[in-house]
Amino acid sequence: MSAQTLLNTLIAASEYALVGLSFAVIYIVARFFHFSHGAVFTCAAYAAYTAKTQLELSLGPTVVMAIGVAGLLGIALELGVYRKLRRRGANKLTLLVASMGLYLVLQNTISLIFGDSVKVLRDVGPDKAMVFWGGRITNIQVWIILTSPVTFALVWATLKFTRLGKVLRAVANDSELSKVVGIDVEKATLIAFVVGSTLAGLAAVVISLNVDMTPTMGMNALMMAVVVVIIGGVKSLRGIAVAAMLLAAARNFGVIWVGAEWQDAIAFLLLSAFLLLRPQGLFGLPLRRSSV
Amino acid sequence: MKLLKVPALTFLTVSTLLLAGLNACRKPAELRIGIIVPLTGGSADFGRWAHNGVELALAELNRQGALSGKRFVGLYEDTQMEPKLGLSAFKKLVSVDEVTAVMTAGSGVVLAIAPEAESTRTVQINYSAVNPGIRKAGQYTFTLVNDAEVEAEEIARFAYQTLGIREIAVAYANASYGVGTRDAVAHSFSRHGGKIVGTVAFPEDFTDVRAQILQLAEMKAQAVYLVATINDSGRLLTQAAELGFKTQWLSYNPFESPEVVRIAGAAADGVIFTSSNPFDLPDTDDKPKQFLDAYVAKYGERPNLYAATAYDAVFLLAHAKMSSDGTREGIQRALASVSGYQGVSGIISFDEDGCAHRPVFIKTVRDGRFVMYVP
Repeated sequence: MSAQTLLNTLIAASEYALVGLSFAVIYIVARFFHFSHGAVFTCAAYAAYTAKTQLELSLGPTVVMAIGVAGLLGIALELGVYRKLRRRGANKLTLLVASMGLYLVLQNTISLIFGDSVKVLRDVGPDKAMVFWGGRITNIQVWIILTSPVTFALVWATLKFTRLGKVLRAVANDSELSKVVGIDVEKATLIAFVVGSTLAGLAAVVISLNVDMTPTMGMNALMMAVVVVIIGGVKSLRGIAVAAMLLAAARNFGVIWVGAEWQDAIAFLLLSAFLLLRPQGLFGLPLRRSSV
Repeated sequence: MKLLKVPALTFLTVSTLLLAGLNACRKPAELRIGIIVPLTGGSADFGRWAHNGVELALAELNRQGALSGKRFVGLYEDTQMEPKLGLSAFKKLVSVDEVTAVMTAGSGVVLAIAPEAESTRTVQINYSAVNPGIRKAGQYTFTLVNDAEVEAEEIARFAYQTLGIREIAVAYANASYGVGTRDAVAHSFSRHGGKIVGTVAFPEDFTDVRAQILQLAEMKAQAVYLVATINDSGRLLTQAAELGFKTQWLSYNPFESPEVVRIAGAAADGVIFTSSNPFDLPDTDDKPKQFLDAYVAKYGERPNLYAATAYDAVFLLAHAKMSSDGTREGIQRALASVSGYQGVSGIISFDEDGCAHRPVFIKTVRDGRFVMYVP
């Protein structure tokens, strides 16, 4: 069954990488732990669910609606909460606490409106699977494996070759210096939120099509995203991709070697190991001091 | 704005305290029952069934007792199936709201509350939890459902003798009810001469259990006993079907929910499980039948066992309060002596451990519907 385990690892890695990327874009520019990113993820999924069940849209418009809702929510959070707090001199810890509060409110609002039982986005029941290399993979899982690298490539190209990408990289590198050379840091932050949130929306839809949705799914996704971003080295896209593979392999193969009940613990053991032994991550620069 | 800050804060603080105080003072003619259930979270279904059953029971009780001037009131507290939250809910109900009786759900919650129930002499009626440890949890803890050992015994005997299964694996949620049921099933099946080829745990409210399903496949058991919440059961069955993992799935009472079929679709077909649901029998007694009709009329769906046991819990507590001297010990004695009570979930008699024995049926899922198993 190791062919299947490899396939599962690939699918999981693609999911982690996508969510990790969405989180990283915001984190490196805004420089604080945007906890409610998990809620943006969940809201996008439930927007897709609403689109499908209430508005009876087909898949394409559903995906667009989910991504749109995610982007708008990201903008609302940045303009309505974070920017206002920053203008009052809030430090990173305050922003973190605020984002945790936002996550709780948003997640519970979803629970209130939709209930806590699993909601299914695809047609009910198991998807047909194709046999591939001795393992089985469904249509949506193939899409996930394809979407991830394509998205990575697009984001990488944007960051490297466009003016917008340069601005984001500049702010990520040093926001004070960026201000000095005339970059509108607040605008750049807003754009980072838009990009990161829409990526989260895309991830949310494809993941929901694969494993259905619950109001707490955002927390699961966020945890994996954070682990991947930290292990990868925060600012390195390459690092996120490699870290995603590493985490997925640890969780899928770890279950075989260590035992299924340790699956979640494995993720955090990996994170702890990196924080202790190589805190800059796989491809990050060594730092003398860092903080969240 | 600054000028208004201090008076505004003062007003907010005072009004919050006032509201909390007013909340705690209730009219003395009210008889309060604590309802400590998961209203939110992955097991919110349990809370919903309880809520539906309790509301029907309270309406009926208050209708019957309208002339006596006494009103029964249910005080709901949300546990999200977490023992920590359940315990603090219990403490709050006992110390602030002065309740003398509660009903509870969830093995972890019931077990956490039990010692506190003993020390405060507050009875708790567990209307759904199955961990066998609850039997010995104290004389103030009563249970209306069979524990995992009873259900395990029934399914083990059925699997071994009727289905001819000799090797099973157990897939269980990494929580109190999962571990308790796993052990009960392993024990029972071995006693009949069968073999447990392995057990696999998964976290509650998971996203992806494909790794665990692969482990189960490796074990090559003839059947897999599944212990999980509705949400988790539904998703696990779906993912197993997608991976092409075929086996005879076995499960227990909580499996019987339309949600499972709604999530898993065709993947839920063929699962065989133990059920004490009294509503699908051809010769359902009068009282369950009346409850069934009333429930369908009010909620538009059929009740399951837990709506019925929740209803019975309210009535049992109400009768205990009314027929005893009203003291905590009196209520406990009144409950302990319950025998042959015709409830909407069936006939209830508490044994010396405060546990009721319910008849067990073997059911299965066929074309998305829960039916009695016919070989």
